[in-house]
Amino acid sequence: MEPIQSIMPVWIILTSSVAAVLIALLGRWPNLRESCIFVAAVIKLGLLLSLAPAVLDGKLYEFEVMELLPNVGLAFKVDALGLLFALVSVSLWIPTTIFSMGFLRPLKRHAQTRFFFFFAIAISSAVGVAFSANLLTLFIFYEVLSLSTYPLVTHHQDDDAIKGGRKYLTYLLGTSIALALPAMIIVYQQTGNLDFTNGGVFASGTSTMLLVVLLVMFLFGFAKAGLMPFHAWLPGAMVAPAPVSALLHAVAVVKVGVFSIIRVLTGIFGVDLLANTPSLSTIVCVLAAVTLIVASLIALTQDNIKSRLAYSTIGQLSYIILGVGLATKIGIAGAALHIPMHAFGKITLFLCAGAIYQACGAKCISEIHGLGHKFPLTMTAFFIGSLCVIGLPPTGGFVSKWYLLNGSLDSDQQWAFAVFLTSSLLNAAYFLPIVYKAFFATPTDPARLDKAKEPPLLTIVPLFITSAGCVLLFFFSDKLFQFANRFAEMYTAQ
Amino acid sequence: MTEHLPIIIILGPLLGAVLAAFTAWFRPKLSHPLVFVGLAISFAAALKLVFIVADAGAQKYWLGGWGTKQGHGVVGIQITVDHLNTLLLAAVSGIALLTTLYTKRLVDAELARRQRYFYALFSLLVTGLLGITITGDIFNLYVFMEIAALSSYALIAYGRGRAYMAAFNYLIMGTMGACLYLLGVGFVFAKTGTLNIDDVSAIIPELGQSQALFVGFVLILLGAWAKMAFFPFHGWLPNSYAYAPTASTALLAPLATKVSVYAMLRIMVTVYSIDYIIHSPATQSLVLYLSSIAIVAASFFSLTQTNLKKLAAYFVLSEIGYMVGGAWLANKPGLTGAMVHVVADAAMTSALFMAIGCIVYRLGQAQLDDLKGVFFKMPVTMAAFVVTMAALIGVPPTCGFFSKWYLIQGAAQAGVWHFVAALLLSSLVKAIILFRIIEIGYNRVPHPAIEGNPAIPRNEAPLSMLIPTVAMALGLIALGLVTSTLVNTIISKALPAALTP
Repeated sequence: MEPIQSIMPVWIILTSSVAAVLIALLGRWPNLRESCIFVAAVIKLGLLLSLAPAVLDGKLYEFEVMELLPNVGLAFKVDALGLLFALVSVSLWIPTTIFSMGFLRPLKRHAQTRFFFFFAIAISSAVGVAFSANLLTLFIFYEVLSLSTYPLVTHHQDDDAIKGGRKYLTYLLGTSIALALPAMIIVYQQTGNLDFTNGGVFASGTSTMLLVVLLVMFLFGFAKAGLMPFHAWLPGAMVAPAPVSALLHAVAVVKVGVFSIIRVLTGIFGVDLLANTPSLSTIVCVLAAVTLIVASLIALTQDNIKSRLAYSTIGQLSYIILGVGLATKIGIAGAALHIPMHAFGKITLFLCAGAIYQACGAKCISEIHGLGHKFPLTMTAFFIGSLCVIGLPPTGGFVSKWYLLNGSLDSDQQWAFAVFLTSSLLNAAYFLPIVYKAFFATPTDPARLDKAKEPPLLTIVPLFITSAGCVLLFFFSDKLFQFANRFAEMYTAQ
Repeated sequence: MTEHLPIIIILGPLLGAVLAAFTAWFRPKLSHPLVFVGLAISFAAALKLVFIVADAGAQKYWLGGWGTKQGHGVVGIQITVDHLNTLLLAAVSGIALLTTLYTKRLVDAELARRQRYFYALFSLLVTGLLGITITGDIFNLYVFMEIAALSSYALIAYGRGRAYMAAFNYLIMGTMGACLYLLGVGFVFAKTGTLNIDDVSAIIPELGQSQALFVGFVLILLGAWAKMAFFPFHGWLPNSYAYAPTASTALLAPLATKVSVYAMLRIMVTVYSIDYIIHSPATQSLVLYLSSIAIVAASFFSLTQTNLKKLAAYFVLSEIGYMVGGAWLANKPGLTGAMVHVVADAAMTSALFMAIGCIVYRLGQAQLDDLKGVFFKMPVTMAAFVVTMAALIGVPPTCGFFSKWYLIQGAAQAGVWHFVAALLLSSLVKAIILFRIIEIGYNRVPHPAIEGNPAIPRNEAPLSMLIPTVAMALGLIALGLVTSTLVNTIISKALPAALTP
């Protein structure tokens, strides 16, 4: 089908960059500054939705800004997966901003303008990744995202923050420069093409050995996806303020990692190549499965709420990678669907953790016993969020896991079915006790509970929005499934 | 008029130097504007020639109109602007022009009452560098090489204390390099009977296998390597650049070594043919190993440095390894990468030393520990510094990314994996250093925006320094965005036709 030439993708990406500039200029007037974020987010969301009908019809929006290397340009292409990911990131930007206002202002946190500025840049680059038409463009935005989130991770500027930031950059920049970049150059040198193409770019007869090496370089090179052993940056990045952990380290940054891997697997290697070369598919599945189980086991041992959530994220990201590695249509659709489902669930959990911290300073699970009576709303939201991540109805997480399980049965890697189920049990094992203890255990520190204040309205409202989102996604999952299915069809139908 | 443009490139700074030296006797204040005007004329001519060459191909100019026939060129000196050197000419004259603007305040501060002949020497150095780049005659190249070298010894010795020793060190190495080069030219002249580059390159293939020519080739290259501080001839560089006045370093570091790399490329690509390298795989792999060692060793040394100027000097050393290695890959992407990187690295190093100069101007010292809070004191300078470091690391879309891309592609095509690893390692080391500086300069101080913390007063470098620095840093991004155009219209035509794609 003829692609639509349109500069719209560029405008969409630039919306939040323009907002970033305004944020920097309006730093002295906080209300004006934050309202400009909301305006930008709404405009961006509106523009994204305006592309949706055509994309769901199977059309593509394309635009090449300029040529950077022979045959490879700074080019954008909007397909169903890219649009889905962009929609999720931008729509969650709104509740996170509300939460940030409630979280940062009462505590009189420093450098709020810097915080919102880099946040907007990060959103721009996440959408840039979503719309990239080739690997080079994707890589550019991937790096911009790493750099622009560094000031957010080190926001507190104390020793822990510096240490966490150091780890963050070492892992993300290190792997992307040392593994993803050379892999990309080798692909370019072999094929002269970096466009994401249906069916991959490799000529038939490319040696399997080379493909295996490249695959491993890509999988580990995009360390934002948190595949073990390159996952340690994510728990380290938990020193960041709660809103950063919520939107960036549960949605934007980590999903950019898996998104990049999906693009490489479907657009550079091609689903057929993956399905027909057992070694490739097996490598992806085994790496993802190991990460999935090990991360869940480590999560069980974490007492710090945010670290437990971080390890849970690492595991859930591997669901997506495993889903694509299965190389079946249903599996890929399930993987794509898991991006929004997990995003809504995990952001709810992180926001709850932030709200609890703000209300009573508790960072650890052992400190929140009995907290449910004090903050019933917050803990209910936490419960809904955990259901969504575990994958139980009536939340969206159930739907994506359903398709992933179906996909594993369709494929040659049927053991993945068992892995998915085991992991879901482990998810339940590390989330539900938190909820149980919050409601039913005797408080360990009653004095702290008495002192605790109800979190301000600005931090509670976003929790409602996202946890309601978790439930709504279950009932309207067919809308999202259209996106996921359109993407899966495009890359599997030959 | 346009046919005289090539010589105007040289005449601008040469006349500027002579006039500046003359007026320095009775009116020292005049020398800076004179040099500036000379360089501005030179830059305008060089820029115009870039477009002429892109449209109409190489421009040749015979000094005095002598020997315009092939084979009669022994007497007359030819100067050539072709696809290989036109970009570098524009880069050298452009960077020199910006540096002239930039260094005024720095010279006033650092050299106060001793600056009388500074700008005359400055302009003479640029004359030498432009001469090396533009000449079409291998002996004339030696002459310009010495002009450049002698003026740079003096410029380094303008610093005090250890600068004298460093300049002397450089003098020994530089003279050795020049001797080796001259000796090599002697071999070539003995075999071919001409010094004109066009004639030599026409005659060499007819001579077939010749031991003398090969010795000449090796001697010339050794000479060029000593001049560009390629491993293992690098010992003179870090101290010279660190102890020279910051104003001298700002001109020397970006241009002097890059022009020597160009001289090597000229010898490899046009004087001799690239087959010389392809047909001697043992030498080729030796040089590639040396390049990797140069990159790795310089990267490690840069990690141990505590002085910003010295650290940057080690960056220069590692970049030299990039270019020599890229050229010796002797395939299309490798040579393209080396040629792009000569221009890109000139711009990057210039921006780097300009930013460092701004810091030195305000803080007096460039020790890493003194940088605490520098991001609050000089936010604009540090923004330019971060962009420059990003270019050196190779973050897209800066120019450093694209040259590195071609180099790695070339190395992958030739299967030289140690060179790939060295390039990536050097990127990582630079990234570590950038974030170490960010940590010291930004995170290690109490944030002034928090109530109760002491405010850090803003103390930017003067505008005459800040504007060139920012312009250069933005130029790195612009250069990155036009890389593909430059490669398609100019650099790809400078590659030897015999190369495999």
